Amino acid sequence: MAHLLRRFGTAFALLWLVCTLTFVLVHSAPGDAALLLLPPEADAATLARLRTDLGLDAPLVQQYARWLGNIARGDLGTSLATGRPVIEGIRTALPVSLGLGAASLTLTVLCGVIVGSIQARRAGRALDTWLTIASTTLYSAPTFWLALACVAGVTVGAAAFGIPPEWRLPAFALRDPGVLDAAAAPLDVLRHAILPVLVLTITGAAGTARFARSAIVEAARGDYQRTALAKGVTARTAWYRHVVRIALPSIAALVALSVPGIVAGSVFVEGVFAWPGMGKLLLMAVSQRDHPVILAVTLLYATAVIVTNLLTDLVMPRLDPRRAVS
Amino acid sequence: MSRAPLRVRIAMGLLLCLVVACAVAPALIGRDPTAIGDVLSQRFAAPLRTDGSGHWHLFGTDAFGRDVLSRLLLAGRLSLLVGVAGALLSGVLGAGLGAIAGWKAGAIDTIVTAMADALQAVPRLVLLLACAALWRPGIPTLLTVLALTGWMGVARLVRTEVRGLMDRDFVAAAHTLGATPRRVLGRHVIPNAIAPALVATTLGIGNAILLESGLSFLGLGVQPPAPSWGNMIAGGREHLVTAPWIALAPGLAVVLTVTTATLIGDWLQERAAGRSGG
Repeated sequence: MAHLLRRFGTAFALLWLVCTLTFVLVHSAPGDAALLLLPPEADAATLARLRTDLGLDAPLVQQYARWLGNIARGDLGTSLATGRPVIEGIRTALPVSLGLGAASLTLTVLCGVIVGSIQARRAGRALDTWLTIASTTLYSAPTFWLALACVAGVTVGAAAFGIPPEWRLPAFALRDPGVLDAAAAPLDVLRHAILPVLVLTITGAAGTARFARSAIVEAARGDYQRTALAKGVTARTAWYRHVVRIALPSIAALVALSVPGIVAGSVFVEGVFAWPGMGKLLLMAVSQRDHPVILAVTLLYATAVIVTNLLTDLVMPRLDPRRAVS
Repeated sequence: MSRAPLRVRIAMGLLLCLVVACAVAPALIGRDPTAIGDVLSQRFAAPLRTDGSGHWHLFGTDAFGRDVLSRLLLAGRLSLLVGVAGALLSGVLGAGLGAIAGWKAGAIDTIVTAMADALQAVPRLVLLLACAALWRPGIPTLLTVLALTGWMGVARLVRTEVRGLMDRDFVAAAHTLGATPRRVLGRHVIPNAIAPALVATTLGIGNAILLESGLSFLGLGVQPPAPSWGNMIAGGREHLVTAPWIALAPGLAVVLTVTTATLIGDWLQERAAGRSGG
């Protein structure tokens, strides 16, 4: 129990530190919200009045305290670009990104672990080498470039192969504006999700396979497999129960590690495929220099990473009794 | 030194060819790869075809009739330079902070570790986007931001390494013989702690090149007309459906560079792990 409390305490401290860092980041950058909101020809008096209205003329410590207080109450501020509460934009974007993230994270872990396990079982042989080269290549491909290649594939590529338009996958957006039938709508969203999920899964699974392979190879070096074989279990059982099972905790830690990658990938994927999620929101905010939105999205992403790490830590003792803390 | 496996030797060869090609590209091409000639006859030539004025192009031409391959090699200079410099800067910053944290312990250690934890909680791309949006985009910003967001891994490694070395007999011996702390750190601790940092920095090069291409793709990195792989892909995006090679060819260069750099880095890491393991 004390361990749990300490773990939660660390997570909160980390969250506070991230908040503080982002605040420092924004306030050390040149220019402020008043300069961005007003046209360049605005005179000094107008600027000063707006700064007073926005509370920008208060001492930095006071601004920091107020900002932190607002965040603690769940008030993420007002978007400079739209004049509406930041939370509104996030409320519509978050479910889109969560769906995309959950689908690709599941597929990433599944495919990554399966490929990594196949490689580890044949470590050092030709298949392992080829899969290593393939996963390194896919892991090294920029996500946005893969996404663009997919777009080219379903447009010019499909046309070159003479695939009829109704068979082609849609390249952009979350749904087709023409689909009004309530029964057809989920299927339409699913069709639109294929390419984004595919791209995220390819890059994610390639990275996961690299880590899973070394985790399983490491587990195979232990005495567990040899002992099990000596006891007379089949090679198959020895592999899955005494090697892959031993590597599971490291693989669970890997899931936590792959979350930032999926977040980063989804920014590009949502940008290229015009998906109205958090990544697209962040890109829009960046191009409009919309500070409150950038801050809010950054904080949310950090929260997601910190929470996944926390969950992994809590699940770990169940997967690996050796790590249980009494 | 053990011989590298075949795939690592091939990777080294390919990477060397690419670097040399980028370095000597302008001399190789002869004419100015950024110059715009007779646009109407030369633009949108497909890969492996000749354009309207009889020049043959391996990767085709872009919307202004410029040869994609020559621009790609020229862009490689900036992309490779930014990638290597970004990884080196974050490696040096990380090694410095890690060494201080491991050596001094106490408050400094706590601060460095907490900073590293906080920065690692934010996905690096998001942090880069936020920074690039707040400051004026360009190469100096890009390098600063790459260094500031990439030092944590190396710092952790060096800190652990320094901690371990401080209990070793040769460090104690140096202290006993009257060496100043600065000398012990500089002559006995850091040289022994640097190997994992070097490997991590090598592996960081691929990552930095990927991030540079991503930021330039979004218009927040290298600014046109200076070509980089990322902003070339961005430039080809509007012609994706009519002339996909403009956007896709520079990506191949990124994939080639990052794959070979990662294969080499992985091998170095395995070697280092094997050596310390016994």
